[in-house]
Order: sequence, then structure tokens, then C-alpha cells
Amino acid sequence: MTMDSLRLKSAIKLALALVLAYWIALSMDWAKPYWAGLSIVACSLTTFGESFHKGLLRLGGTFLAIVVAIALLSLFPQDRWLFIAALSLWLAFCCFNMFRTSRSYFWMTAGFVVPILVIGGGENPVNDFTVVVLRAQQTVLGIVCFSVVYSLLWPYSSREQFEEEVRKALALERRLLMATLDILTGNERKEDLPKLRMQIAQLHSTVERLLDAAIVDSYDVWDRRIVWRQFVANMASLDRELQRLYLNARDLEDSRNTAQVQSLCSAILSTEQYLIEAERTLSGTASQVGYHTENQINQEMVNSGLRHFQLAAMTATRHNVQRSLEYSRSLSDLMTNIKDASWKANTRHLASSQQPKPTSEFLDRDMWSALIRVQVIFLATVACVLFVPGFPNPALVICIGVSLALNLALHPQASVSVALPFAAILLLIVGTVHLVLLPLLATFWQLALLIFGTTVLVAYLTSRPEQMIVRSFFLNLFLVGLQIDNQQQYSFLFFATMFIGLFCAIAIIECTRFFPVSLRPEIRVEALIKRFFSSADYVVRHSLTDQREQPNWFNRMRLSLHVSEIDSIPTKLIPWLSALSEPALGNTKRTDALQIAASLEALSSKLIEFAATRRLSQAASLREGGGEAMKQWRLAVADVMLDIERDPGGIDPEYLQNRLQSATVALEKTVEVLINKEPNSNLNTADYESMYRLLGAYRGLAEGVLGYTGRAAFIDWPALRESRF
Amino acid sequence: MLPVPSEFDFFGVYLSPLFVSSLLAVVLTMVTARVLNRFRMSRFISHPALVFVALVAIYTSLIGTFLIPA
Repeated sequence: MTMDSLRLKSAIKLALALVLAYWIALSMDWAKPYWAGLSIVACSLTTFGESFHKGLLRLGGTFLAIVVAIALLSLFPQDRWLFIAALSLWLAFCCFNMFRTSRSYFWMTAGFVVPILVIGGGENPVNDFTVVVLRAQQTVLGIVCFSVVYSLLWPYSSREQFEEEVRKALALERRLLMATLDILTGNERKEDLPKLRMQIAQLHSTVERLLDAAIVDSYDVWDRRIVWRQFVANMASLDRELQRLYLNARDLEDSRNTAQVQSLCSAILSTEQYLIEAERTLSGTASQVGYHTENQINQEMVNSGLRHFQLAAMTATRHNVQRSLEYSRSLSDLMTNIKDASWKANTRHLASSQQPKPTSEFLDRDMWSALIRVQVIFLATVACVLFVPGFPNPALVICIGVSLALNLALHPQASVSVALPFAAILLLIVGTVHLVLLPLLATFWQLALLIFGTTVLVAYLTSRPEQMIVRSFFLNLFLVGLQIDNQQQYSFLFFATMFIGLFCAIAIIECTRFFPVSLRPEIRVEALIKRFFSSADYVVRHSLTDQREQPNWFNRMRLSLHVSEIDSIPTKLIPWLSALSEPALGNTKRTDALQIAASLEALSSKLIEFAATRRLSQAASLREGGGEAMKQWRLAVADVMLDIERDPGGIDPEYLQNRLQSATVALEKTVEVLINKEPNSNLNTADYESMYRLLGAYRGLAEGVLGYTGRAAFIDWPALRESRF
Repeated sequence: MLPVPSEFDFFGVYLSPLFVSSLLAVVLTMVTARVLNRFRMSRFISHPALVFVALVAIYTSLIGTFLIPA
């Protein structure tokens, strides 16, 4: 199927579903048929599974909103302020939950539908119950219509697309693996790693999304859903491990051609074989299981002739290779299990092996910032409606304001002011159609032709995933603007008040880009970098060791929060860097700006590895002898983090390199003295392994900080910090 | 003449004069901010967002006093 025919078919399906929904709603004499249309537009995605999954989330959210709306109306019928406070708390609760789940659309719907229901009834509360019932039936109608059309007309299963994306993700992981192998063998090709990393991250999020969709529309995937979820989780873990491996492999450039590196290369080839096997099993072209042999990693470390820091880098890399091998083997096994119809999943075992979620989610600053913004938008809109006499179209302004606020909670970098000129032009076009063309239509089929033609045209022109927001914006405004009803009215007043209402809602939302938390990209970029280094400083100073007493609940929470900040900030930084304006970039190239995020991602990986490695138990003699030197080194690195937190662009890379190099030499000397002093018989392989891994983690950390300062030198900090409107 | 507030007739939609003044003030402030950014004059401003609000207030009162009096 060519891309163009797929686009056209998707557009026709969407248009048919809309026409069907309008036909049924008007035949049944239900008011506000555009509510069914809005459900269809919101949930129309490429495959049936994706659309149906989103539709179910919208339906669930709507039913929850209905319960809440009835409860609010019955509890506070006469008390305006208590009602507003309760509604505000409900919005906060929904926003909070949006950040805690991958099914954020459910909570978003549950949030923005409540104001529509409680305000949509107008001044007469008797209408409220009718509005609530109407909203429920129109939402169900919309979902039923697109389900029928999408499942009968050119059905396109999510399963094929899901499996295709999994294959692509495995292929990209293999590319990352081969890039690592090239570094180790010295045949480095030009692999654009930041681009590759971005592609892998996008594919992982697509795979997660499509898995939910494939579970809905494919029995095979549903039957193996637990194994598939484990597979996707393991693929994400493998990706993290491969990234660490790639970064650690760079530290082995001066140890090439040694037996140890050769052994690592063989193990990497085994890892690739497992991934190929998983790909082939998925495609149904697998050869005999276990046709390749797994290469054992050379365990010999002592007497290898390498310097201690080289050995440390080797040990850290070897650990990554070992973990990658384990993950790839598990992926191959899981894929065999998925494709083997006679195999039954051991659900208890698989469920318990999933990683627990961090406990400090409720302390996420970005979640609180979004929550405060939603509250400010809602309360400011309500205040305008209550205190500005003759405020135009109050119900519309509140509903649009809350809906946009919840949408922006997950995309705070988006600016809605750019939508205003488009909205004005669209309203002008839709208004003309409503006032001039609509009165000329005598039968439903003429109206159906108008809806069908416009929808096909818009959906065909906006078929790419990044254009979905434009499609939703246009079609929503088109359907709301047409104001089709059984008792048709034609009103210029509606368009005039709608435009003014939209302007007011957007003006309020734009004000919240400055207050109470500034959401300007140039400010957020520096703030996020500072937050990253503040957390890095805390983790380097306070990460746990095997010897340290278990801290109290408060300190465990703090540590968990800082680790989660380090893990998430590089990803959060990318959209903010992309949103930087040209004046804010100054002399910085946009690719250089994005490299900052890549360098922080590398440092984040090193920091998390460092925190995990510090927990390993060390031999008492090595701990006592080298503990002080390592502490001094650790505190020196923490001081550097603190300096960067104060001024993210103020550290000279060359000065830092000299500073760290002298500390490295001193630390290496201490380790050498320590090992020479200690008889080999007192230390076993595990002791050496732990010590070298720890040493490797220290070295990696220093390299990571150097990597950041190197990239930060390319940023035009004065331009970024220059104050502007 | 009695100081009775007169509504602004926008193609049959009646709007309060203060509302129209504030809409015009926001547009004018956006133009001013754009000009100040263009000539890098905004770098002398410590808190641009506060200045933006202040400019809206100033323009609203000026327009409300001289152009669209209530």
C-alpha cells in the first residue's frame, strides 16, 4: 500500500465516521452533535487499535467526569465559592495523575469534561442532568461510529505496525552496538550518535504506545501481553545499558588490541547475535535456536600489564557488556516465548521482575509547576467571568481555558499565542460557511457532503503525526463553528463572542508563561541545567555505600528525588532547547545547543552508574587504605558540580581538565601503593572487580563532567541570559 | 453631559469600553515589546514580564482616557 493511498483511506475513514455520527445524532434528535464529532477527531489515529484505545480512555474519563460533575452539582448547588474550590481541587488531582501514568489522556478528559458539564447547563441547574446525559451519549456515539468505520473499512491492525516498530528498534540497538564495537576495534565510522539516540528514544515511546493499541485489537498480543510488556521493559533496560557501554568504550581507546578488549568484542558480537535472533523470531524466519555460541568474557585482570585506570575502565565496560548480553539473551528468550503458542507465561515471576517506580514522583517540580499553572488559569478565568461585567461567552472561555491548560501541562514549552491569528482566519472562513452556505443546504446529504469534503481535505493534508495538532485544531474549530443542530440557528454574534472569548482565554494562558513560574525557554534551559548539577552535587556527596547507615525516610526521599531528577532532566531539556528563539541562541548553532542535552544524558548515565557502584561492598583493606583518597576525589568532583550549578557556562574546560588530571594521577598512585602493599592472596577476584568498577565509575564521572564543560563552551551564554520580552 | 458608561458597538456586539481599551492595550504592548526586542533595548529591563503588565496598564489608562472614554 503506498503512503498516498494510506493517507487518503485514513482521511475517508475519518470523514465517514463524522458523517455517520452526525446522521445518527440528528436522526435521534440529540442536541450538540458536534460533541460526537469532537470525540471522533480527538481519537482518530492511524490504526484501529490506537484509535479504539484512545477512545476507551476518553470514554472512561468522560464517565468519571460525569460522576464528579453530578457530585459537585449536588453537594454545592448554592455555594459558589465552595463549588469553585472543589472544582479546582479536582483539576489539581487530574493534573497530578496525568504525570503518574502513561494513560494521561484518561485524566486529561476527566479534568476538562467536568467544567463543560457543570457550566454547559447554563444558568438553569435543571438543565445540568440533561447536559450530563447528552455528553455521555454523544461521546459513546462518537466512539461507536469510528469503531464501526475503522473496523469494517480497510481495517489496519496495530499488531503489524507494532511488530514493525519493534523490529526497527532492535535494528537501531544493533547499530548502537556496532558503533561501540567500532570504537573498541579502532575502525570508527561516522555514526551520528545524538541523532541515533533520539531515533531510539522516539521508537521506544512509539513501541510503548503501540503495545497498548495492539493489546486492544489483536488477540495474539492480548494473550501474550504480560510477556510483551516484559519484552518492552527489557528493551528499554538494554538501551540504557548499551548507552553506558558506548560511553565507557570511549575510555578504552588506549587499551585496544589487548586480550581483554578482544574478549569484549567477542561478547558484543554474541549480544548482536541474540538481537538478530530476536528479530528473526519476530519475522518468523528464525533458524535453529542456539545456533551461535556465547563468547565468555575474559575474567583475567591482574597482571595484565594495564594501568589501574585502564583496568578500571575495562572492568566498568566489561560489566556493561555482561549486562547487555544478559538483556539481549532475555529478549531472544522472551521473543521465542511470545511466538511459541504452546508456552504459557509465568505471570507472577514476570510481573515481580519489573522495576519498581521511584517513590519520589510526587516531589517532581515540573509536575507541581504544571499543577500550579492549571490552577492559575482556571482561577483567573473564573475571576474574569465573575468580576468583569459583560464578559463575553463565559462558559466557552472557562472550557477552552481548562482544556488548553490540561493539554499544556505535558507540553509547557508550547506557546498558544501563535494559534490566535490562525484561529481568527479559520473563524472567518467557518463563519462565512455558517452564515452564507449553511442556510442554502436543504437536506442532510448536502450537509454530509460539506462535512465529508472538508474533513477529507484537511485530514489528507495533515496526515503526518507532527501535524495532528493542526488537524485537531482545524477540525474542532470547524465542527464547533458550524453549530449544526436540529433547530438550526444562524448567528453572527456567536462568532464574534467566540473570537473574543478565545482571545481572552489565550491571553490568560500566555500570562501564565511568565507568572507564577516563568516558562520561557531561555530561562527554563538554564534553570534545568542548574537543577541537574544541584542534584548531581547531592548524589555525589550523599549517595549510599555498603558501609553507611541506612538514612531516615526524609533523606531517602531526597536521594530518590535527586536521582530521578538526574535521570529525567536531559530528556526534559530537549524540547526546551528546540524551542529556543534565534535571538536567545545568539551565535550558538541549534545542533550545538542540542549537544548540551546529549552531554548531560551521558553524565546522567555515569552518575547513576556511580551511585549504583558505590553500593558494592569493598574489601576492608582497600576501603580503609584508599577511602580517604577517594573521598577527596569525590568531594573535588562535587565542588566542580557546585561551581557549574552557580554558573553553568563559567567553567573553563582546559582548567578543569588540568584540575581533574592532577587529582587522577594522585588517586592512581594511592591505588597502586595500596595494591602493592596488600598481598594478592588476601584479595579475591570479586574484591578487585568491585574496586576497579568503583574506580571506573569515578573516572567516568570526571569524563562526563569534562564532556559537559566541553559542550557548554559552544553556548553563547550572554545571549541566552539577555533579558527580553 | 451625564457620565453614563457608553458601550462599544462592534457589529452589533456591545462591549464595555474598558474591555476594548484593554484589548487594544495588549496589542499595543505586544508591538512595543517587539520593537524593544528588535533594537535590543529590552536588555536594560530587569523583569520584562512585569514591564509588560505595567505597559498594558499604562496603555489601557491612556486609551481609556483619550480615545475610548467611558
